[in-house]
Amino acid sequence: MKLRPRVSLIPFVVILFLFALNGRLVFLIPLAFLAFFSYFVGSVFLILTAFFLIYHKTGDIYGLGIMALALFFVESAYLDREKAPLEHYAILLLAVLLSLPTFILMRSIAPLMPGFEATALAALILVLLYAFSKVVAD
Amino acid sequence: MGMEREFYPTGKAVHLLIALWGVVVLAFFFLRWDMAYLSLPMLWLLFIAVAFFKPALDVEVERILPHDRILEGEIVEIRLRIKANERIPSLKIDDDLPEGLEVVEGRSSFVASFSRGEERVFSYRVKVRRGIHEFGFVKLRYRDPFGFFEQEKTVELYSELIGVPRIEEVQTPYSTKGTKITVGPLPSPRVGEGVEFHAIREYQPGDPLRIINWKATARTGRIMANEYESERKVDVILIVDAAYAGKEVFDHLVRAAASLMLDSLNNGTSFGLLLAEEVPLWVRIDYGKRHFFKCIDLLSTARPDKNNMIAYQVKHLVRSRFPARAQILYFSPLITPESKDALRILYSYGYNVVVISPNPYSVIEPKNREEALALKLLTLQRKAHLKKLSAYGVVIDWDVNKPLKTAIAEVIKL
Repeated sequence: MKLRPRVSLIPFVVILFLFALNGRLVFLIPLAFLAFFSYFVGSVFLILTAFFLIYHKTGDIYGLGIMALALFFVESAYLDREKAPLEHYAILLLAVLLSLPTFILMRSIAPLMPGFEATALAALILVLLYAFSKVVAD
Repeated sequence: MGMEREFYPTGKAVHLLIALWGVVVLAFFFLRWDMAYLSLPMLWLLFIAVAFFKPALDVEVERILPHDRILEGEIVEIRLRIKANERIPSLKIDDDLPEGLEVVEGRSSFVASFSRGEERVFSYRVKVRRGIHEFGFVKLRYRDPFGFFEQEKTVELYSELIGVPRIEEVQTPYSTKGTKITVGPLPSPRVGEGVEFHAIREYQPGDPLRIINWKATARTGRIMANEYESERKVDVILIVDAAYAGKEVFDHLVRAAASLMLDSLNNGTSFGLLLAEEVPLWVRIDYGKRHFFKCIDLLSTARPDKNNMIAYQVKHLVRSRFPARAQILYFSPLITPESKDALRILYSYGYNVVVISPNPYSVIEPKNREEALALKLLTLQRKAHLKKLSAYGVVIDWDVNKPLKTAIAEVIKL
């Protein structure tokens, strides 16, 4: 059997490094390891990562970067299992990275919406979320 | 091409959506709802998957069969030619495989990726059983590269494959001499002239010039002509008993009928066919290849039937359709009382009957001593029955493990 290079190893190593440095996230590493084999465990890993990030107020670009990395890792593990072509990883990387400029944009326009900014953003995200759920479900 | 489309999220999409909602709910729960932005990567991924990877499944499908009539037991290659008019990263193709076809090589479903305008051919090999095999559709299933949603489309694509019965070489188990005037392998339109030399007589004005016997003319000094004997052939009627009780040997029964029908075609006799299913199928007496293929098509699709009333059907047709002095070939395992009655009826109307009776017990392999004994008893009982029935016609008891030719030769010393 020919061994395929696993792209998901790259984000996994970065996650190992970052989570080990962070200290608060270190015990998520075993779960991250299991995400190699199951997407369900991967989604649990995502929620738990978000939980600790929110709980410890680790937000901003760093928090979002960790979330994006975690998602990239979970999805690339899935693509590895499906033996996907490299371009699919590229699309995945692009989609995930797009969240960073979006966040920067949101943060930069936030001061222009005094008092109401965050609520509006949250509402917008909720509406978008609902719309996507609807589109996907239909 | 008719279409039916479906688009639905996969379990994976549901997992990601739950994770997404989880992040939002957590952000609200901890009163840090501004941190809902942590769901941005997931939102982007879903957005891109839905917005850019939702194909219309614009695909042209063609099924290529080597021939629409295939001899039973043969292995044929079914090919699917797929042309994608758009880029499809991952397409699963499922062919609607009819039940009577057994895949012997490859599979009837394929997964492939297509670039725009790409055309590919997929193939698998099947073993054909006797009967009519219908392909109804090809099912296409698309999954986006991230596995978030699936789309299904059924392309109606009808093809038909007829498994025709295998034909064995047989000897004619009856005399082809009869009352009908025909010539050669196919009846000639020149009725009254045969090919067999009969006598020399004096040339009569109006006789065709080519029958003049020049040698005899020179010898006698008068114009002499050859006289030919007309070949008079018998009408053959094939009766196939589709009783459900004989379903184990039904394929053999049909093969025997097809073989003797071909033999009849080669002999130049005209033949008719009665397929005694629940609704009797009667093909009137005719001759020639076209007629032969029509009958073969009927035999190909014949099935054993539970409601068998062969005696009644034969009685009705004897009175209304069967010509007098026809040669009857009766194919029946002679298990049901109706099939035995049918034979008696044919005899009582004065027909010559040859019965080809495949022995239904010859296909059974006994598993233990009791079964072997039971089989022996049944075989003996059958032999006694057939002996009684041989008063009504020539009964050929066919052990289907042997060639039909041998079975015929054992009974009819040619």
